[in-house]
Amino acid sequence: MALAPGTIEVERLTKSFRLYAEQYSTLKERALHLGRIPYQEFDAIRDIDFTVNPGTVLGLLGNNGSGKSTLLKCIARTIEPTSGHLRREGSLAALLELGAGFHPELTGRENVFLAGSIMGHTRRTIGAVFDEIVAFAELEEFIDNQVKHYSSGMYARLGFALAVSMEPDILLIDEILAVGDEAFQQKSFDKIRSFRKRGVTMIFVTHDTDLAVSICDEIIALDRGQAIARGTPEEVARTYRKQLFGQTPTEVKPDPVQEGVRFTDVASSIQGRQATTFSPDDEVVLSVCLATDHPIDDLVIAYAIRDAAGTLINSSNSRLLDSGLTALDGTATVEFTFEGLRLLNGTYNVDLGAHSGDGRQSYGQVSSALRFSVAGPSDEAGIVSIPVRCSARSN
Amino acid sequence: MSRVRTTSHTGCRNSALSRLSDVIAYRELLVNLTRTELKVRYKNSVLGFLWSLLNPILYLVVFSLVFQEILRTQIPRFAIFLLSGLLVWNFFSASLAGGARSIISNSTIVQKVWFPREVLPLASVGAAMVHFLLQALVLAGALVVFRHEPNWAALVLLPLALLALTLLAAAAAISLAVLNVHFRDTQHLLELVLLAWFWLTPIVYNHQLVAERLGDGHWIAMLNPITTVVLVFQEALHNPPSGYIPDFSLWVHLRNVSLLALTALALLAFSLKLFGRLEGKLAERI
Repeated sequence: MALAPGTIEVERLTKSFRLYAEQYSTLKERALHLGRIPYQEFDAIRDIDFTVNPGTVLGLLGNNGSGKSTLLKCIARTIEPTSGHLRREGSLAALLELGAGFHPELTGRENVFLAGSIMGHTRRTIGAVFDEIVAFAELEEFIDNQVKHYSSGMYARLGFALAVSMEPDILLIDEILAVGDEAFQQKSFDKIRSFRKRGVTMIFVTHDTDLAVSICDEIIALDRGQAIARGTPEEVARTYRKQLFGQTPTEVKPDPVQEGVRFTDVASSIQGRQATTFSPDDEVVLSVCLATDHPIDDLVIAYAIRDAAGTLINSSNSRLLDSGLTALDGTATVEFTFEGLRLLNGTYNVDLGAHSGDGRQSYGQVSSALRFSVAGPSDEAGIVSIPVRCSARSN
Repeated sequence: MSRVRTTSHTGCRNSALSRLSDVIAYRELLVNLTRTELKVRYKNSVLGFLWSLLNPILYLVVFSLVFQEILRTQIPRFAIFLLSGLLVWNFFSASLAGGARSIISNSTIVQKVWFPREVLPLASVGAAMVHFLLQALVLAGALVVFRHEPNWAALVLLPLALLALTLLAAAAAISLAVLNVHFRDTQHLLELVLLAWFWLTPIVYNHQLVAERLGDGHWIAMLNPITTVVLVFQEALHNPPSGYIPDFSLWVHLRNVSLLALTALALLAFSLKLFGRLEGKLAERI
């Protein structure tokens, strides 16, 4: 049966490695140890099954040694699986290691053509996009220098630009988006997003749950070579965190017991549905469940949103926002409704605090009580999305 | 970007023809890798490509000294005789030595990107071919300078002889490349084998001497495939008076070379098969 371009079918795929105490690779050593070389069999991946349809972005989530990179290499055909079947259709580009085919003695220009031909492109097709590649990598000035003089960032930028220059049917990405400075990273993400819009199938390997959630349509979580969860990003992220860290995304890490307020649950949702990934325009509700053993009659609940670097982006509290909450006896739920976060793509943390009306007495606080990410189609760079128009006229 | 049509990994993509068609699809890579190998070898060197001519010149000086002045060989125009055979030998031995190391020295790309790996040893053969052509130019120059007339009729056989030699070199390079990954001492063993093989080939001495010594068993000497090619080159370029190389008619040369080409073709098919067998674990074993 013919597959549509961009399809990948993986059936009971297993890859075992033999771990030798020592690798005997000369004839003499082989002869001496004829058939008696001690080794342990080790399954890097075991019985993996999945089908990726054209245009899907699949995340492979797992920590080190989970087999996700092995699986990706099997799909890229650089290693051969021990058993099982793998079928795929369409052209494939693999971002396994940027600039893998580069030769240090050659110039950037020569390397683009060499590495391009390693990927199976002809001189003519590379020539047609050559200027684009150089512009994307921002290496116009250095393209005729030997790449051994490049910085690691320049090297990786050129590798990335080359890999994404031809639109493949399937793109494999192995934790390499952290290339170059932030502006370049942003550009890389935009490129990935545009691929997604155009229906390129992507398999994305990462150990960063938030990143996976913000990019993928579907995630498979791997642990020690086996798929432990598969489904929508939010579901899998929750299962994965629970399994690996015994922790759910919304779980609160309470401070040492304190006379006062406990945050029993924190969750964020869009239209009543729990979520931790939003687009900039979503109306997001942050609900905080509180409990206390002693009645408190002068209570303010405050939140603070910080970006990944810890910069305070927004903070307010239940009194300033006229929530009507002033006292607490037993339990209560406070909801903050954000009519659009207006944040740009990234991961953000929410800190929570409870204190008295005059702010003098703290009843408890939790830093990073909730983590969420924003993934939007925005073409802006920075932290905040500002509605902006641009017009021009000649005078 | 590898253009893959529905492939099954565990199924066998092993027929020599399909492997060959993969290589043909990647012919631009073959050209680029050949160019890279040459470019890298001579980058930052003052003499550049002249280095590739230095080796035969040195051989010429040393062997002329030893064989003409000390051992008093009777071969007329010894320099041209020697260069005719050396041309063949250098191409063959450089292909094998380069081919054996080709996969290991390109381990980074082998581990990261899929492409038909046979291209790597073939690029070594390609680089050796470029050197062959350069050295052939020098030999042609020598013929003009010494006003030495080649055997025009035998020259027609050279393209076929070169084809047979190239097929043979490709088959050997492909096999050695993959064997060297599994048995690292292949390349060291190869050095010894090549040394012996050089002296078993009538390059610095007259094949006629061997044939006479072997008597009725003189066909044994012809089992060395390089001998067949060397004799054609000597016949065509050295064009000696009779008695120095076997008095084969052109038809005999043609038959020998054709047989060799067919054998080489079969060996190439075998080497592609062998490569397919052993290729699976390449990336892990490097």
